[in-house]
Amino acid sequence: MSALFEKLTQSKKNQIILFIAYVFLTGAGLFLLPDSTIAFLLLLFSILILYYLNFNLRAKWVTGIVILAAIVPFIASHSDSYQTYMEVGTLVGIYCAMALGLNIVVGFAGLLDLGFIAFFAVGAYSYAIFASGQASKFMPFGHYPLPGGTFWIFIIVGACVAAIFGILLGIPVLRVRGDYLAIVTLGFGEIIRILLNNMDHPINITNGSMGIASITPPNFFGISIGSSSQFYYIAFGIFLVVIYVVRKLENSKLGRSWKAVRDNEIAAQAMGIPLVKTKLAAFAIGASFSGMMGVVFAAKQMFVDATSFTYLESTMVLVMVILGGMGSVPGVILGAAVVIILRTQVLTNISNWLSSMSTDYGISIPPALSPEKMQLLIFGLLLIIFALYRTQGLIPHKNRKVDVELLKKESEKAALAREKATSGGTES
Amino acid sequence: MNILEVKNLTKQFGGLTATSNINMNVEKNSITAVIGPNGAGKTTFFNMITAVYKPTAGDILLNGKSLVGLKPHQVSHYGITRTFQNIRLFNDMTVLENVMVGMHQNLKAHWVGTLLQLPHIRKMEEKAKVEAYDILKYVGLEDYVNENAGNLAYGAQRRLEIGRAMAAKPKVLLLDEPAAGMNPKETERLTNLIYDLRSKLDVTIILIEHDMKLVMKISDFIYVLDHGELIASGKPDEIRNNKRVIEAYLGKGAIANG
Repeated sequence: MSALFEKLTQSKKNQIILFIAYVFLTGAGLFLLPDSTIAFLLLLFSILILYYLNFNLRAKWVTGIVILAAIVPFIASHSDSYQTYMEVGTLVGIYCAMALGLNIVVGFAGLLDLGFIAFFAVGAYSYAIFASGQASKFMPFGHYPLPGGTFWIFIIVGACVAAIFGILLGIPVLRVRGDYLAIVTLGFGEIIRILLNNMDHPINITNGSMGIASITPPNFFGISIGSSSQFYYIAFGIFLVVIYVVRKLENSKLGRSWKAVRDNEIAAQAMGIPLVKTKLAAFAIGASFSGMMGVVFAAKQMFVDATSFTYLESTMVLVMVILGGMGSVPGVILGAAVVIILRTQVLTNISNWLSSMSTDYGISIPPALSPEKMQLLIFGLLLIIFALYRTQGLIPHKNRKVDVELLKKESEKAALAREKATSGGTES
Repeated sequence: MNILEVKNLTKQFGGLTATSNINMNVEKNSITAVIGPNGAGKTTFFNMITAVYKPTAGDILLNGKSLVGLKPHQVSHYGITRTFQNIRLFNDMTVLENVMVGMHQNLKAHWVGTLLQLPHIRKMEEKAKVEAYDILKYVGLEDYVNENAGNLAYGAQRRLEIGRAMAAKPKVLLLDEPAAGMNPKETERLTNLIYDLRSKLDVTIILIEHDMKLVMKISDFIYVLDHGELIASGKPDEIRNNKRVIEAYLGKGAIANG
């Protein structure tokens, strides 16, 4: 059986045919079956299959973007639970970007951050305050709420504000390492949450525990964006930008500096890498992704309060990074998708199925045992299993390999050019 | 001409004096060895030059400019690079990346330019890769370009550290026990490499080493430390016959062998 499978998948042509067949089948399943969560998940799974195919990189990117931007939304739009699917897609996009941000801090620069959700909160509140009546309670000038068109500017503003908070967190924690760093960042996350929860007096900035409601939805050339299917594209767009930034930085001077600091601080300094600047850059850039998605989150929910930004959420983002594979970009994306889908789809579906069992067959399961309520236990077990059996995560990090033959050639060419230059110099 | 001058350098850890009143003049383009028994303060001395430790008193001058009070990465920018006694490579990065990190201070790449994929930055990256490959060829590691540095054999790791330091194009290269744990054949290879380095790269080398055969062979000048104090300095022949050095460090056998 496995031999047959291997034979089938050996040639590129077969791979393409099988891949198209897979997408078609799962798409048809999603199209025809009512309430076809499994078909939807399998369709998303095609992205992972795509990752392992032997296409060239550009073809993979184009196919992936076409599937996610056109095929998935198109097929899902014929399903009854269209908005639910798109909601899941939006959440995956939001958390993927956040996990990629945390991956810069934890995976690349090796700085354990347990309060990462704070930056998400900062981004969310920066849009929420100004896109609702809240700002008029303490701002002496201007008319609030700001119109929905400012949403697009606020994505940048959210990123900048979060980056500034990233630096604010970074400055005091640069002196501590390891466990101490984890504790300080945890404290920072809690401080931000508690501040947001209490900044309704003496000046009412965040409206305290009441939260900020009726946030203006974004406006795109006169179209008001309110549904999940529309937010899906916003999240997807930002997600693509984030991937681009991460991939370019990873193999740049800055990316190498991060990894060098992670692997050996003393040696990195001896090689001329400024420790403070490099670490702050990691905090700021990682936080900015989170801030951008915070703005999207606030606009999507139209309501924010401090309960969305608890320590549990920070842990969830960290779980995504560790589950996927620290430092591995595809791994972290997969990790984020797996955690979100587990949380929003799989566990709820199992819970629903169990409760229907109890009504249909009279098998009663106490509600305390429903999987939905055991999220923490399940994620805890997952982490333990991964720590024991797959420490590198789902898709382990691999360093980018260079083409040695090409380097050899280039090196010979350069040597020849040097020789020519020196011999030319002596002749003249 | 002296490239590096050390004046009355003293370091105290609490009540413990690690080095006291060390004076040293290092000539440009020379190979200088610092020897002495374990705990003599040799590595502390290196750590002060590279600003890992701040000296309690005294001054370090590179081409007449004081290095005291700088950050470690600034010292590196001034042109002093080092290797470490207990190898400190970037273990989870590839061999090539390790060398490229060494080049960082010579690469001018702002991250905004990186994101915009400006052509001159891409070209610079490509050129840096080729240069790094040349360095790996030079230290004999061209077959391990894509290997993780942590997977290399011990001797290869030592050579990679030297390669990484070379990549920074230093004026002064500090080698902390480069031959430690090497077999005679590897040591010989290293000796040739150090010789070659000086002539090819126009670099001044200071090394800490316990292998007396190596030290006597390659050094132009030797400083001997014991209990944090400079007990002797001079040409290899003078050191070999110095009574205090024999007493403190070399032992009587050294005379017979030498």
